[in-house]
Amino acid sequence: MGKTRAKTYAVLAVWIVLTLSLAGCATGKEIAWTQINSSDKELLIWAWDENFNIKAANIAAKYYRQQHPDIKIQVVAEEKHDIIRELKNGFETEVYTELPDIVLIEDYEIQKLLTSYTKEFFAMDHFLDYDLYQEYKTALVSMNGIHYGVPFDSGAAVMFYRKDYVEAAGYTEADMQNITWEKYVEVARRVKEKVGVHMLTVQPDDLGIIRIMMQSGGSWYVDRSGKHADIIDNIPLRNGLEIYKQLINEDLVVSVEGWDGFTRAFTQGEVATVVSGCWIAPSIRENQDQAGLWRVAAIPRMEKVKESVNASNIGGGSWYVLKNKTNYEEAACFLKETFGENREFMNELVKEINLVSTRKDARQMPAYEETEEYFGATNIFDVFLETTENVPVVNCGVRTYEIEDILEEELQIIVKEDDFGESLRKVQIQAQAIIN
Amino acid sequence: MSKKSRVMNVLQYVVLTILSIISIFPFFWMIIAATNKSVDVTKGTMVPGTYLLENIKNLMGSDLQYLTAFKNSLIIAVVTTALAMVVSSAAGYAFEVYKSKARDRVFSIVLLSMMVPFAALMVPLFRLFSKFNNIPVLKWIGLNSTGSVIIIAVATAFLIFFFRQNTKTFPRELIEASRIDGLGEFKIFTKIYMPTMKSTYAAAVVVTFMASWNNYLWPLIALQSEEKRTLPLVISAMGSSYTPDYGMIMTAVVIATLPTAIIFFIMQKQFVAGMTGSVKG
Repeated sequence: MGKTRAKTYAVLAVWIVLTLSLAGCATGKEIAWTQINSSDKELLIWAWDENFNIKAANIAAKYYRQQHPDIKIQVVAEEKHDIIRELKNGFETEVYTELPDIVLIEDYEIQKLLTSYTKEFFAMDHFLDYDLYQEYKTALVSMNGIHYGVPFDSGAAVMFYRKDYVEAAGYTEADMQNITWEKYVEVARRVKEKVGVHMLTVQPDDLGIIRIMMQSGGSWYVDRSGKHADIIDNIPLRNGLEIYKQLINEDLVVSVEGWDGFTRAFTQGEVATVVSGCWIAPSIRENQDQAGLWRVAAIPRMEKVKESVNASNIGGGSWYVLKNKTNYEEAACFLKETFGENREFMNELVKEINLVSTRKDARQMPAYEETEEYFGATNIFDVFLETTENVPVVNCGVRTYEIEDILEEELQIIVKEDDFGESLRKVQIQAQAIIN
Repeated sequence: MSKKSRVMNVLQYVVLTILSIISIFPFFWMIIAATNKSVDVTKGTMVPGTYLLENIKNLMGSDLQYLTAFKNSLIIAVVTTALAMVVSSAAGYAFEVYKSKARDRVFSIVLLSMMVPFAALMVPLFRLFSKFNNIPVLKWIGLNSTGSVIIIAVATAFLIFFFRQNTKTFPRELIEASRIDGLGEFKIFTKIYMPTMKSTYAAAVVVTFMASWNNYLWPLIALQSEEKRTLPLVISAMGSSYTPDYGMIMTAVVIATLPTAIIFFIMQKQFVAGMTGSVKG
């Protein structure tokens, strides 16, 4: 009796175990899938950065609810790369209930998603007048002439510099306006000599500075079509690498690890300039000990590249509507009435999160007229907006980060060798291989 | 003690001290950082600050629903651990105690499931669980439910293997004696086996609780709504910010570390005994 019972238990235990641990291998009759979250009045939004994007989405929700009180809007903070992973998972499995209605995607990532999952994104052409936005930004959110994203923040690349260091080296604020990288190197040498600090941080694992230089010359890792790697014959890239190499070889830059290494260097006063996106301003401003010491100017241009201008872009994101969600029209409406066309809302975002808008008429927003004590009572938005207006248009193609990984591997050789043509040839071949 | 062995002793202590410092340093840094302002953390300060309360206030005041996530993580970890102990130990016990022809073959299949990386199972699992949402009786383990995260961790090949290995040291005589005394198989398991194997259970509790508490990938794709999300997801979301508040993040991490640390310290002794597989009978 006991034994039979024991066997029953054993069989039961094994059965439970097998069912649970091998659940993933289960196959069977497909059960028709119906939307479970089909409540018409609910929008789910995903974004990253609770101090910036999440805050903006919550304010947008507040505005939208004033006009549409019956809509429920939920904003969820996710990690930037997790968003991409979850989207791909949802698209592949075609299980849409777990996906958001609206999602923020970084501009460098979107082309890859648009190419692989075109049918998943809702085209916004009928909802938004794209002529109202800066061209470089609309180019990033569209594919084959169709616009998918609602442009959000500008990643205007600017140069923050320490006025006290630069002055100690014998330069004035006027000397720092619209300079070339050659002049920048000259200032860097003097700063190093007189003040004893480096000019800039470089991160071996993040070639943001190269991207900034390259786009200021109107080019990218891929050509205009986005289908061919543009490395070996890319003059702005070559020049950017030359400058990068010079800065390293003359010991004018300090190498840091990761984001905290990057922020630590300027909060500790170890560098004289920060050449990065305008979104770094709040991090600089955080250190009240340095109030009044920082100024903002346009980034340097490359003297040897005639197309190069004192403006570029780094980072930035845009909002997208997922087409296969039940509420896609409501979601598109939400974006149109908030991030798309609501100027009062955008003005509030300038105040709340220092948003640098990519709208052409951004300058008319009153919040952009305010000066800031921290930056010596200057108006930093002037530089941000002017940069945004002049950013050269590029096609980021589908594999920015992957190509950059390849370039990073060759970087040590590029920095050491006199002629790095061979390295670039290698990068070109590998980059073309992953694009195909 | 000879001079040579004394020197060896000193050397051993020096090496161990250095290793301990290396292991403890991240925790030390984490606690220091939790008491400082973000800007001081980036400056690399190594002295405790006075900003802890402010950090906690910021954490609770942010849009991240930290407390909800904490509660979710706790419920998931506790329920998973409790269920896993019952199911996996019964399985491990059964595999060892009851003989059958297919036993070892079935056990190999269970072990095989350990070799399949989770990333490979993710998509089919996601599809499967999405179907559960449509079946009324299985809704509670469908996507975006706490059950979906619990059910998947209740029976793991590792735990079954662990219990089976430890059951090998369990004296068979006890089972035989109990049978002769008229105890049923179920009671032998609950009244004799479970109390005797306390330290094995303790080790399994620590391992399961930690794994469940720190689990990231499956909750990430299975849980979507804010009120269901777990701590690792919320903490991860904090990091991807243009201006991360390191003080607040570290406070969040310190609080998140507490439950596992407490569980470990309570069960430390049994854990070590359980891992080494000894039975005190």
